[in-house]
Amino acid sequence: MNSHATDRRAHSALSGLGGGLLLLCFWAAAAPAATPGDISRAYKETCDRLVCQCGCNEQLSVCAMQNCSSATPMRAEIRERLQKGDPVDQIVDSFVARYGKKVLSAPTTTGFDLSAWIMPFVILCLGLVVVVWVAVRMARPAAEAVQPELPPVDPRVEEELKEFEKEI
Amino acid sequence: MSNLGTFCLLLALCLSLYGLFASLLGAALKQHRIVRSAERAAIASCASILLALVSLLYLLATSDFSVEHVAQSTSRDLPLFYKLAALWGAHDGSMLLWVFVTAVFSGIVVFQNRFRYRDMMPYVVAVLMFNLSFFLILNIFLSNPFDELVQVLPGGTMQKFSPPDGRGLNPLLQYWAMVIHPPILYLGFIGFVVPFAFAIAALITRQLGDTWIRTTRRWTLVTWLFLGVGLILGGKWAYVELGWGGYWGWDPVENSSLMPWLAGTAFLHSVIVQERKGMLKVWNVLLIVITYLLGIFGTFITRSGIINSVHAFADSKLGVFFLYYMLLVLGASLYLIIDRLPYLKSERRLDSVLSRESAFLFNNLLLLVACFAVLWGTMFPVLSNWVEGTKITVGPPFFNNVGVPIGLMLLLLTGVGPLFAWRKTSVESLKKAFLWPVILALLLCVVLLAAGMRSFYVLVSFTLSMFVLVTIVQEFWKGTRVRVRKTGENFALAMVNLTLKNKRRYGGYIVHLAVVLMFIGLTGNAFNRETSQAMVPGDEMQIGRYTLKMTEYHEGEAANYQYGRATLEVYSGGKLIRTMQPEKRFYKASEGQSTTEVALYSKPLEDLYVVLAGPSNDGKRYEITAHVNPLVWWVWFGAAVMVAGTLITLLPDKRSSFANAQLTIAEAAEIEMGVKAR
Repeated sequence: MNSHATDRRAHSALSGLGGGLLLLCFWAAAAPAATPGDISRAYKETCDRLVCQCGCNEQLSVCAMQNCSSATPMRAEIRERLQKGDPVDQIVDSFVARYGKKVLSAPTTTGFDLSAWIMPFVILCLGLVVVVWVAVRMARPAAEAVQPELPPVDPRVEEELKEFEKEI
Repeated sequence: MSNLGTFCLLLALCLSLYGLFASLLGAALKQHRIVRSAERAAIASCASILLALVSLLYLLATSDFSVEHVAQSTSRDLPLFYKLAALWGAHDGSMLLWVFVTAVFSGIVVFQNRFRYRDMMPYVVAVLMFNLSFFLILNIFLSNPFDELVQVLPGGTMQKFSPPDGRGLNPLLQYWAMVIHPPILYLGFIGFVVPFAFAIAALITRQLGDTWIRTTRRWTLVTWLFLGVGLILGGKWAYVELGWGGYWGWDPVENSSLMPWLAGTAFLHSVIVQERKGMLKVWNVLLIVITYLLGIFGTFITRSGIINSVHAFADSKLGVFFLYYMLLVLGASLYLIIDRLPYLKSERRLDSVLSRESAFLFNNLLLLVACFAVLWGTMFPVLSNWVEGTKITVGPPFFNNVGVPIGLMLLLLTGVGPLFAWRKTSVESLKKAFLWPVILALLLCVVLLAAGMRSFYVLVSFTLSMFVLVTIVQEFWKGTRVRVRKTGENFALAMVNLTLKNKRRYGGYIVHLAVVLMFIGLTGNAFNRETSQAMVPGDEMQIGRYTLKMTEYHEGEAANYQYGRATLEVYSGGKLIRTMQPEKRFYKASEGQSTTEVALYSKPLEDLYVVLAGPSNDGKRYEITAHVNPLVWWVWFGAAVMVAGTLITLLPDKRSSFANAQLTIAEAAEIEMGVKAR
C-alpha cells in the first residue's frame, strides 16, 4: 500500500517535472514571430559577423559605447545598404576589403583559418582513439602495482643490522 | 604608509623564501624542527601580507593620491565601498589581492595539517611557498601597488607629487556583482594550488594512493565552486551593466576563467574513479597539473597584454615571467610524473566498456576537448599573427559553432553516465534504466517538431535536457522508494534523508540537475528578439507581447555621476504591468565615461530587457533598445541550484570527518600500501 502510494507520488513528481519542461520548451518554440519593429534578421546577422574597430574587440551587435566612432557609422552603413537590397555577404565582403580579415568576428574557412575550425574536432577524434586504447589496455590484467617505498632506515639501525649479519 | 606596505611585502617575500628552503632542508635532513619553522614562516608571511593589504586599504580609504594606484583607481567623490573595492581595480592592487589569497590558503593548509601527513607536508609547504614567492617578486619589483607618483621638475630633478583628485574607478566596475566578482574568481583560480601542491608532494614522497586526493577533495570542490560562482557573477554583471543583452561574450579573459573550471570539473570526476577503483592515477596527477597551470595561464592572458580584451590589464613586462614560470612548473611536474610512473599503475582493471569507469573516461575526454576548443579559439589570433602576420578575431560565432556540439555531447553524458554501474552494466539493466528517459525525451522532441521548431541544436538541446532530467528524477525516485519501504518514512523525508546519507552521490545529481537547468536557459538564447527606436515622451514601441510607452525623460546628478533616465510604461494585452527606468550615467571623474543601467523585468519564461542608449544623433530624441530574452532566468536559477548541490556534497560526514581528523601517519601509510577493503 505504502509502496503504491510512493509510486504514485513519484510518478506525479516525474510527470510534473517532465510536463513543466515540456510546457517550457513548447512555449519557447511557440514564441510569437518577429514584430514589425524588430531589427531585421539580416541586420542582426551582419552586425554579428563584424567586429567594431574602436579597439573594444566586440561584435558590432555588442559594442555598447555611445556614439562609438567605429560602430555607429558601420551600423548606419549596414542599415542603408540592406535597405538598398544589398545581400549580407556582399556587405561583409566590402568591410573585409576595407579593414582586412580582422573585421570578421570569426575565422574564415580557407587557408590557415580553416585549422581553427577543424582542430577541436581533430583533437576530439584523437582523444577518442586514446580513450579506446586506454580502455583496452586497462581491460588487460593489471600489472602488480609497485608498493610505495618504505622510509629509509635510520643509519644507526643499519649499522646494527650489519653487525648482526657479521655475527651470523 | 606606502613604505610600510612595501616593507611588509618584502618581509613576506623573505619569509616565504625561508619557508621554501627550510621546508626542503628539513625534509632532506629529517629535522622536524626545521620543517616546523618553515611552516611558521608561511603563517608569518600571511600575516605580513595582511598588514600590506590593510595599508593599501587605508591609503584608498583616505584618498592618498601620492600613491599611484590610489590616484589611478579612485577619486574623492567615490563612495567608500567602491574606494575599498578599487584595491583590485588596477593591475598592481589586484596582484596584491592574488598574493594575499595565496598566502591565506597556504596558512590554512599549514594549520589544518599541522599534525597530519608529516612526511608530505614539507614538500606541500615548499610548493606553496615557491608559488607565493613568485607572485610576491612580481608584486614587489614589477607591479608594486605602493609606488608613489613623482614629477620631473624643470631642472631634471624628481620630486613626489600628489594630484588634487584621482582619475576615479572605472565606471563599469561600480556595480555590486563586480565588487565581489574578482575576489571570488581569485579564490577559484588560486585554490587549485592546494591540490597541485599535494599532488607534487605525493609524487616526491611516492605516496601515490588516494591520500592526496581525499585530503584535497574539499579544497578542490570549494575552489571549483568559487570559480563557478565567479563566472556566473561575471555573467550577471555583463548582463545588467554592459547593456548588449547577453551574459557571455567569449571574451579572452572570460575564457581564461572557464578553462580551469572545465579542467577542474574533469578532475573532480576522474578522482572518483581513483578513490573507488584505484585507477587513472597518472591521469589525475596530470589533470591537476593542467588545471593549476590553466589558472596561471588565465593570469598570464589577463596581465600580459598578449590578447585584446576589455577586461585585461595590459602589462607586457609581466608576460614573459609568467611564461617562464609555467614552463618551469610544467617541466618539473612532467619529470616527476614520468619518474614515478611505476608507482602510478592502476590497482584494478577495467571490467567492461559498459561501465561507470568508461563513462568517466568519456566525460573527461569531452571536458578536456571543450577546454582545448576554448584555449584554441582564445590563442588562435596570436597563432594567426605568427603564421600569417594578421591578428584575426575569434569571437562568439566560432565558440558557439564549435562549443555547442561538444556541450550537447557532455549533456548527453550527464544523463547516461550515472545509469551505468561500476565494473559492468548488463544490457537488461540498461534497457530498464533508459526506458522512461528515452520515451519522455522523444515525446518532447515530437511535440516540439509538431509545434514547428526546426532548429536542430535547439531540438537536440531540449530533448537531451528532458532525457537527463528524467534520469535524475528516476535516480531520486528509486532511492527514495527503497528508503520508504525500509524505514516507513514519508516520501519527502525519505528523499531528504536519502540525500543526506549519501551526499556525494545525490549532491552530484543536484549539480547535474543544475546543468540541465542552465542548458535550458542557454538554449533560450536562440529565441532572443531585439528592437530599437528613437523616442520622445508619448511615443510607443512594440516588442513581442509588450508595448512600451515612454512617459518621461529626466536628467539628474548623484554624488559622482550625472544621469539621464527614461521612464517607460510596459503594457501586455492592453494592461499596464510594469514601469521600467533604464538609465545612462556619465561619471565625472572618469572623463565623462558612461555606463548603461539596464531596466530588467525578469520572469522564468522571459526577460524584458530595456536599455537607454542615449540621445539620438539630432539630440531631440532618446534611443531605446528593448530585448526579449527567453529563459535567461533559468541560467541564474541553475547556478543557484549548482551552488546548493555542491554545498550538499561538501556537508561534513560525521563519521568520516572524525576518522580523517584522527588519521595517524601509520594509518595513512597503511592506506597508501593498498591495504584497503574494496
